[in-house]
Order: sequence, then C-alpha cells, then structure tokens
Amino acid sequence: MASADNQGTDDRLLIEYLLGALPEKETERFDELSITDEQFAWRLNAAENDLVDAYVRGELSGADLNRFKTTYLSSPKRRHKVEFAEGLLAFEHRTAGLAVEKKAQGSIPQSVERLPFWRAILNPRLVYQWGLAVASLALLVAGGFLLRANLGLRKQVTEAQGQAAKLTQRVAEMERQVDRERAAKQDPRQTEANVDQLKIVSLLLPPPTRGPSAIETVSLHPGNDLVVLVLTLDSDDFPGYQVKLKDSSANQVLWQSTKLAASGQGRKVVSVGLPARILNQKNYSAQLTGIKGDGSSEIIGDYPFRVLLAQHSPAQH
Amino acid sequence: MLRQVRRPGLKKEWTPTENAFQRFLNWLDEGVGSDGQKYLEMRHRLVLYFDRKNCLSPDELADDTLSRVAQKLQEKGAITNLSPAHYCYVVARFVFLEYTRRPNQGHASIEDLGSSGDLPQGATSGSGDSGFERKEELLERLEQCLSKLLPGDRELILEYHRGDGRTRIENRRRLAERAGLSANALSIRVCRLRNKVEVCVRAGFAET
Repeated sequence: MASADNQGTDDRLLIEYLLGALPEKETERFDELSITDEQFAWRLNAAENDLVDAYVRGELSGADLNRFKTTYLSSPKRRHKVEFAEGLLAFEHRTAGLAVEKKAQGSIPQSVERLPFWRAILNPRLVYQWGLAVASLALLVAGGFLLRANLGLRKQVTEAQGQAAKLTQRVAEMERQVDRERAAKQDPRQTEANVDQLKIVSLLLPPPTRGPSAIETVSLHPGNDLVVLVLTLDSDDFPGYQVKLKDSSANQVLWQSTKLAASGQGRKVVSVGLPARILNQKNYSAQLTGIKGDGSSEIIGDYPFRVLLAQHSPAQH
Repeated sequence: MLRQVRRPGLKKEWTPTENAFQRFLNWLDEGVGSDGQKYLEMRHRLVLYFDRKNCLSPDELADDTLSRVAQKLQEKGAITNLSPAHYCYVVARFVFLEYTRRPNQGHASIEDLGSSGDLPQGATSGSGDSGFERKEELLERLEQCLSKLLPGDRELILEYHRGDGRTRIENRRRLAERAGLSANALSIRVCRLRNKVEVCVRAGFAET
C-alpha cells in the first residue's frame, strides 16, 4: 500500500473505482488507500474532477456514461460536484467569449494580447494610458447605450401596441366566427355547418425576462372552451416551435402542443390554443422550445401566467 | 470541531474534553504541527469514503468515526500499533459495517433528488422556472471566489481546465513544464485550488 504502488496505478482503474465498477477486493484496496495514503487520496480527487469535467463536456459515452448516471449521480454531494463543474465550464465559455470579443475589436497590442487579460490590465506601464482611454470610451459608450436603449424601448412599445391591436382584431374576428357558427347551428337549414361552438379567451405574454416581472393573468369563465396563448418572441430563430404547459409549483408537464410556426410582422409571436378544461385556478408556465431544422430542440424560455376561475356567466376577452 | 456523537449501540454520549481533543490533533499530526489541517484532511477523506459507499449521511458518519478514534485514544492513552490514518480507516470500516446493519439505514439513489447540500438545485440543467437565475448566481459566486485566489493560482486553475480533448492535454503538459512540476504534482496542486474554490462557492450559498 505504499505510495510507490500508487504511481503505477492506472488512471483507468481510478475511474472504474469511482464509477463502482471494480471487483470487491480491488474496491476495498482502493477504499483503504483513499484514507491511508495522502498522495493516493489527492490523485483520486484529481481523477474524480477529470471524470466530472468529462461528463459535463459530453466526453463520456457507453458504459462509463451509463454508470456515471446510475451510480455516480446517486449522491447529492456528487451531484453538487457536477453542478460546480458545469459552473466552471460556463465560466470558461464566458471568459473565452470575452477574449474573442477583444480580438475582434483588434485594438489590443500584440504584446499584450499574448498575456492573460487580467495580467494585461494590471500591467503598470499600461494602466495610465489605458485609464484615460477607457474613461473617455466609457463616457461615449454609456451615452450611446442610453440613447440606443431609449430608442429600443420606444420601438418595443410601438411594436407591442401594434401587436396588441392586431390581436384584438384577431380575437374580434374569432368572436364573429363563433357567432356565425352559433347562428348556423341554431338555423335548422344549416345543420351541416354545425361546428363546435368555441368560446375563446386570449392572453398576450411578453418575452421571458431575467428579473422578477408582473405575472400575466387570465380569467376563465365556466363556458370558455379555448385559451389562446400568444407568446412574444425576442427573435424568430427557429423554423418550428413547441409549447409545453407546466404546473409552476410541481414543474410537471401537463400538456404539449404539436409543432408550431411563428407568425406576425415585426415582433414575431407563437400562438397556441389550449383546451380550457385542463386549467385550474393556479400559476402555470408555458415553456417554449425551438425546433431546429435537424429535429433537435432547444428550450427558449418559460412564460409564466396565472389562471383565475370566474364564477359569472361566460365572457370573452 | 468534534461534535457530540450519539450512536446506536453505545451506552452513553461522549464529548471530548479540550485536552483530549488537543491530544487527538497532535496524534493525527504525528509530530509535525499542522494547525488542525491533518484533522480537516482526514475528515474530508472520510466524508468522501462514506459518500462513495452511498451512505445517506456521510458527514455524520465521518464525525462518528473521528469521535470514536478520539475516545479510544483518550481511554488507551496511546495507539501505537497502527498509523493514525490506518487506525481511522479501521474504525471507519467498522462504522460503515455498523451502518449497513442499522434497520433504518438508507443508501442514496438516483431517485433521492432532494437538496441536501448548499449549491442551488437545478443549476446544472438550467431548466425550471429560475434555472437561469441560479446558474447566473453560481457563476457570480464562482467569479467572486476565483478573485480571492492569488493571481497566479487563479490563472493556473483557469488554464488547467481550458479546452477540450487533446487541446486540454497539451495545455496541461505546457503548464506543468512552465511550473517545473510533474503532471501528477500539477494535478494535485490544481485539485487543492479547486477544492478551495468549491468550498468558497458552497459557503456563499450557505450564507444566503
């Protein structure tokens, strides 16, 4: 059990030990070394970090991946190691993104570019020169940003107003259609055009935001048949979309749509009709997923909303 | 440090005196004063051991083990037949066997998805209503904790984890060369740094 023995221990065996794939005798030997041999304990720790990193980078496959999911992830402590590794990876991506941005700007001297950016920033020779430049640039950027943000907000308000007007018009059209269908049903001469009477409520949901925002509410009356959710998109990046209705408290999928397409001019929206009978008085979330051309999908965001059940006679929004 | 431990099968609860605990720390140090580092390292190893055995409360079992060792040391005055680490292992094995015989003992399984740690649940998947915010919070904490490291250490840990596949292997080889360390020594050094950052991130979440 000496340290010299550890040097020869294959990393592969360490991985198998961590995944619970070693025979009992070997497992016991490694158990003992993990406590009695400091060098071995650290090597094991390092191998475990590499294993977790490989998992979060999608480098595990086959039996290892299977064992990782069924054995390794069974412990809360080990799941937290995975979360930490994912954080490290995301941090790496973020810093890599910053580095690419800096390169794209092409304003960094080559000698500085070779250094890690925090070293370059702390270089005393450059601090003074960069300080003045950064201060001037910051003023310009801040001014430009505020102006742009103001214009952007104005544009968004105008677009949202336009969208709301179109939706009102659309709902009015649907209401007229329902009236026509209702009249047709009541007219004995038109029994062949007997379409289900639909009583529709619509709800416009803004794009998901990071911070807390007011939750949209829809009131359902006993006679309502259909709830049309209109999910506003930040950008129309996918050829298809799917909406999943989730119970916010249980995070459980209650219903899901077929493949949908975005519509509208300017700000795009995805509209989906839900059967009103599946909704109760509580908070829900409409999870929007983008479907790529190759069939793979990506979650875009959650659109929270609240349902209130009204006691009065049916009314339409 | 050592918690009062109540164990099934023991006639009484045992709490170490200040003197007994100091003697226990000295014994673990084996003559080289470590200011309690050896104790913390041994506890860490024991927690990992019980966790790998899928015990539901590895921290408690590690404390139980150390408590029994300290108690035995107090009773016998000295333990000379085994090194401190070996003695801890022997007792840990015994504690584990005892644990497996408890009628209500449990093993962690993939179905036990409840939170028992300090990192935010769901930070990995980014799914759920506030997965994005939790991930952002984790990144923020990570940045804070990394900034507490010495600049060279921060650079080392970030460089060590950078890249994929062969690029990462090559990157690590260059780092080891630059630092004048073997690949093994470099991985252990980074591992210590990573543990430090992980503890810092976890402590941050525990505060909030």
